[in-house]
Amino acid sequence: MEKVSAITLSVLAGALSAFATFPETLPGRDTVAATGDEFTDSLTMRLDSISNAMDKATHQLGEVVVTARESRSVTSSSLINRQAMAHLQPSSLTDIMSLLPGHVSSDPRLGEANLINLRQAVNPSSADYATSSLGTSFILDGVPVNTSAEMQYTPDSNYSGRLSTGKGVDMRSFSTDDIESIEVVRGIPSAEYGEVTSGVVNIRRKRGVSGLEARFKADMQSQLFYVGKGVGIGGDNTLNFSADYLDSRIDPRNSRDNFKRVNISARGSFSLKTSCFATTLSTTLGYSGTFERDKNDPDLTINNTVDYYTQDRNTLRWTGALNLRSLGGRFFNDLTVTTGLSYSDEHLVQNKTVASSRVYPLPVSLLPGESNVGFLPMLYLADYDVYGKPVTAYAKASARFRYNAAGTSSILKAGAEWNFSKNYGRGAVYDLTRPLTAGNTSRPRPFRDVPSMNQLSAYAEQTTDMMFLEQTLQIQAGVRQTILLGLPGNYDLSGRPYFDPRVNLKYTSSPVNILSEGVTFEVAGGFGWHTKMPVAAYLYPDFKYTDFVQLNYFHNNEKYRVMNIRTYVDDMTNPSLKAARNFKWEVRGDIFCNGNRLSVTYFRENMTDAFRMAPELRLYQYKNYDASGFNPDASGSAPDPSLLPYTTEERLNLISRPSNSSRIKKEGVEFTFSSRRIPRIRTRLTVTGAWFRTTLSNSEPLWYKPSIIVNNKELQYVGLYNDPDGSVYQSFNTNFIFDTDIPRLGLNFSLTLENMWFTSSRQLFRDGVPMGYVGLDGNFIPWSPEAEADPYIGQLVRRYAASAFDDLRVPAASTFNFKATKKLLRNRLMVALYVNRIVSITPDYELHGITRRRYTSPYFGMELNLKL
Amino acid sequence: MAVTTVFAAGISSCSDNDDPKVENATLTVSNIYPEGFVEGEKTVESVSMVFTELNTREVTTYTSAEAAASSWTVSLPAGLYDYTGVIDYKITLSDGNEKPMRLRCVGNSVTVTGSSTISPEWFNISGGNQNDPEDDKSGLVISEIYAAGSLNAAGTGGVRDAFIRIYNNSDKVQYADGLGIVESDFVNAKTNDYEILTPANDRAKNFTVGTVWVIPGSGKDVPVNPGEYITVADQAIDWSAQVANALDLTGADFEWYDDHAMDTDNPAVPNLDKWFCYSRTIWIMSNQCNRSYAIVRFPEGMTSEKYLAEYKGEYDYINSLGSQMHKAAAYLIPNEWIIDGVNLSDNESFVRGALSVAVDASFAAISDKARDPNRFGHKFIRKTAVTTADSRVILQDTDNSADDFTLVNAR
Repeated sequence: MEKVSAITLSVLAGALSAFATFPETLPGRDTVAATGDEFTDSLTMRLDSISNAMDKATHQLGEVVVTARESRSVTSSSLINRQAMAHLQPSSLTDIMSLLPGHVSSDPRLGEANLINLRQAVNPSSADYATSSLGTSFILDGVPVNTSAEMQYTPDSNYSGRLSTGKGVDMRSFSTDDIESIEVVRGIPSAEYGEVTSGVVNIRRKRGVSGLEARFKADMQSQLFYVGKGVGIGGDNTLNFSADYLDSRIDPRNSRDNFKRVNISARGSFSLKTSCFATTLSTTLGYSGTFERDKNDPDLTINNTVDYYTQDRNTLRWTGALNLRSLGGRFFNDLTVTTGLSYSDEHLVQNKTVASSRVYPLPVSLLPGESNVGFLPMLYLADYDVYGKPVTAYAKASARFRYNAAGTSSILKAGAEWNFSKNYGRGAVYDLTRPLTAGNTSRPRPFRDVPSMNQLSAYAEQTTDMMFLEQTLQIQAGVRQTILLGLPGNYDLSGRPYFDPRVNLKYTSSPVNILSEGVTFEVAGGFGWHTKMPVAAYLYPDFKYTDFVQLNYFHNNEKYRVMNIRTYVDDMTNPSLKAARNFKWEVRGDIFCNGNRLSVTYFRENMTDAFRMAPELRLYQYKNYDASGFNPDASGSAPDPSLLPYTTEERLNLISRPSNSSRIKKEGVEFTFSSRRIPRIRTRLTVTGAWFRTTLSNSEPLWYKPSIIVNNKELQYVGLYNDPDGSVYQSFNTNFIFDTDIPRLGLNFSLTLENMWFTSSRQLFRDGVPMGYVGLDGNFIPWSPEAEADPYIGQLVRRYAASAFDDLRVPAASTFNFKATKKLLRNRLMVALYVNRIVSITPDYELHGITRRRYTSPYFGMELNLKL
Repeated sequence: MAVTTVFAAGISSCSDNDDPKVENATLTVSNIYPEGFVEGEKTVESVSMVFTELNTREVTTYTSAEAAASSWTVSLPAGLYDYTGVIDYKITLSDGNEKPMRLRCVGNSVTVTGSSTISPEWFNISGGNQNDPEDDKSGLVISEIYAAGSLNAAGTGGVRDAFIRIYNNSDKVQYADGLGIVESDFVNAKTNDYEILTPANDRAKNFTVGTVWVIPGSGKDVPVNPGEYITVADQAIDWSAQVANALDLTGADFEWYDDHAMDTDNPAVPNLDKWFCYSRTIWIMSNQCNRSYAIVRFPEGMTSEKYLAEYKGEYDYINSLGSQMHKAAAYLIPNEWIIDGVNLSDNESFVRGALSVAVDASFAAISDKARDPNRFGHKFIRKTAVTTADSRVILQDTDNSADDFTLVNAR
């Protein structure tokens, strides 16, 4: 009866072959109406399944959901729709993340890069743990936002926190008003999604006919304007236009430090139906600009000097997706070709009046070797420009096939994608003799000298639903393969494919009668590997310049002055750099009863090869010229180093290069309870929260050299320590959201009680004794008690205070937030307001015997929405 | 209803009189004298104590011409007090000459109400040992410190035309080579008012330092004649050629050169030895003027290696947030090695000096406010005590830098 056919997908010239066997489609089953909504595919493709029927029951037509909804998909993910966003009144994508389990509302931080931290008890500021945000993929209309070619950089640490190079997507730059819905996959995403270690943020933007919409929002830091409209142009074809503008002051009292954002977007959807196929073409052309300014107040500086920092980013982004769907239950279901192009023009300017506090020599040599250098003037204007032009291109072809067999229905997905990125910018452009900071040792390198990155991926995944006795078992199993192309042959990554197998299972019980209520249980779980390739800044790091003084002869007579240095130029490339891989697994349990749902997920993630700059040992040699016997007055000239006697000096230094030696370990329990709306009071209770435990540390022994001078010299020994240099962070919170919807009055309001029951951090124990050390001879010597007694080697022992490894716990804090929306003029006008921390309960607590007081102040905003 | 009653009761107990009434208090001073002082042959010349109320800054002075008693009482307004005390006396040396001696006591934040008692510990100053009148370390003194530096070219901060001047205050030739010049690890400011847990770092025993410079030489290479001085500078260059109004330091005797690509080395000025420094970059004096400095005579036979091996000063402390911390990059200078020392700070942020009160009972203040931009261009100089008949200047050295130093324009 069953005819078995086989399909072989040859992708990447055999790099991946996915074999799948499946029975022929059973006739007579309902045709699935695909929505073209990529991220809810796994849901909508099975409209006929029991689980979805229940889901529909839970979220009846017209039901207002103002919170993030736990999706019914096979892995844990949060769904945020338009209504939830309208109720939240966000300024950027960052605000929306407060709806995820384990997160609480926070004030906008528009003066710094906003990075995502999924399932984490801490928002790490250190770049050592940026792989967590870097490994979260943001997908905009089906095209991932590729930040691999992002390279903007400033040596001024006051501003480096505003840049997101190597850290992933800066969520500040995303406005929310043209977004229809967001799905945040926290669990194990489908094999369709790559370049992921943490999760996927899938953003679907508004399409379809709508009246003119306008929004004006003001809060304590910013004003936001938005206007958008969707028009029909015959048939099912639509065009959408939207534009928004955000103007914010980081501190409302300071008009000189601000962040502005402009987004303009045009989106078209065109569809064509024949008797066999439905074709949809959706395309988007968008402009996005962010403009940051921070200027000092010349009236407050002594000489009316103007120092400023600006960073402008203008991005043009085009996406196109062509979807061809077969009508009538054929084996071939649909084919989608997605393409994306983006071009950004980035310009960072820093102008700074530099008044030196001492006479600084000025090493500017771009080449290794000896050279004489001059001296920095005592006062100058540093003009520092960084030009970045990241270009990305993306193409993906994906197909879906479906077939049914006795009691099962299956979907097979397969596809391939290509990712390109390159920065064509000029990089840092400045006068090397007028650096931003004296003692600057870096030298500029044009970004365009960094090779392009080409990544090829392919995936295949099968999802099968098995139904028996009103129970469903859903199995999703897939594999994804990724490879970087065009790398130099000595790279470990060159020609090396990574395979990410991912498996998710979900079992849904048949309804059981408990106390005359039908109760359904669901158990789901999954595991999988996730791979994130290094960004260009890690694959092709800047050279490291190290200057050693060979002759320092600052004679009283300017004519006789000479400063001779030896410059070393180190290639910081780490050819053994690998991709970062995260292994995740999770188990989820759900109970459904009469429109109420409780969902609890336990997860663990362990990534031991996350990116960081790790110290690397280098031995340098340079000359120490002895000019003591030289008499410049006799010769009438400055000393010529080549004629001077010298001794050879050696120096052991540590330099940082990209490596895979960070550990990011996440564990936790996420839970969501959502009640149905209680009819009499028209109120629904949603409880979300999470317990997270996050361990951030190094995963490999680290070199360390104390920054001290002993007996006229830097320490000539470097220790290797197996100690974990990291901490364990924990947090536990619950958010109770009571939202009341009174359609008759057009009123919707919510009261949220946010309890952060505790947060804690504890440094991992270190004994401070090195495993061994290396001296100038370059030999590694295991540690011994004699070494500890040596006046020099003994300096390598690192001691820690007894309480250094105590658990530092911040006890409970509770805040109440209030939000309301009211519709007026036949729903044409909507006014909304929110107050966060309208009431806060933050009891004092003691830490180390000292009483800590916590202060909070409310944050509020309001807005007007027009729909014409 | 019950709540209202309680509130009413609370209000009625409040006084309508806003006038602060300060009660007078009686303070009993129960003295603890150093060993040998009470029994020893001496002539006490004056006894005085100064009490400063910390809120009102009101000063109460107690004086007595009598011999130092074991206790006395002082009447003063109730409050929170800092106090200092001085007992001047004379002893007769074996050669029959008289030598002036001084005892001092200090105390901080003492609450005085009703009848209170304090037990000040008096100590001998001027480095001398009470029981050995021949022991006199008052040969070399720090006569000038310029830590703030002159204004930079933009007028926004200081430049590092910093120096320390060491003066021979005695009538005999003194040798400066082998002399250590050290900077405290502790900062004399409120924000760094740490509770030190490691006993060796108790300032009554040892001076905890972060940087140890040593004047090179074999012992008799750097003579300093009576009434003369040597100058040790950061960069011994003509700063006035770089920045207007800065100093010409080309005449310095030594410079502290860091062998680093951020420093300059004047070939005409010899460099100090750097036995230890907490930082491998360049060392600069505290331009906020809130650390302590001392000149040190190491014991016979001390070498850098021996010092590095035996005088490690790592310590545990509790920081202002209450966390217990560890500091690794520190060394110890036993107080007996110190010839002269001075605490620097500003009046606003000073809590206590890094030096033992026996070395410096107070501090030299750069300004009233912390980080006062007017500090640039100002240096500390030691006051002249007396000029001898042969016109040799003897500088005042009472081991109380608030009294011994004045702040003057550096130019």
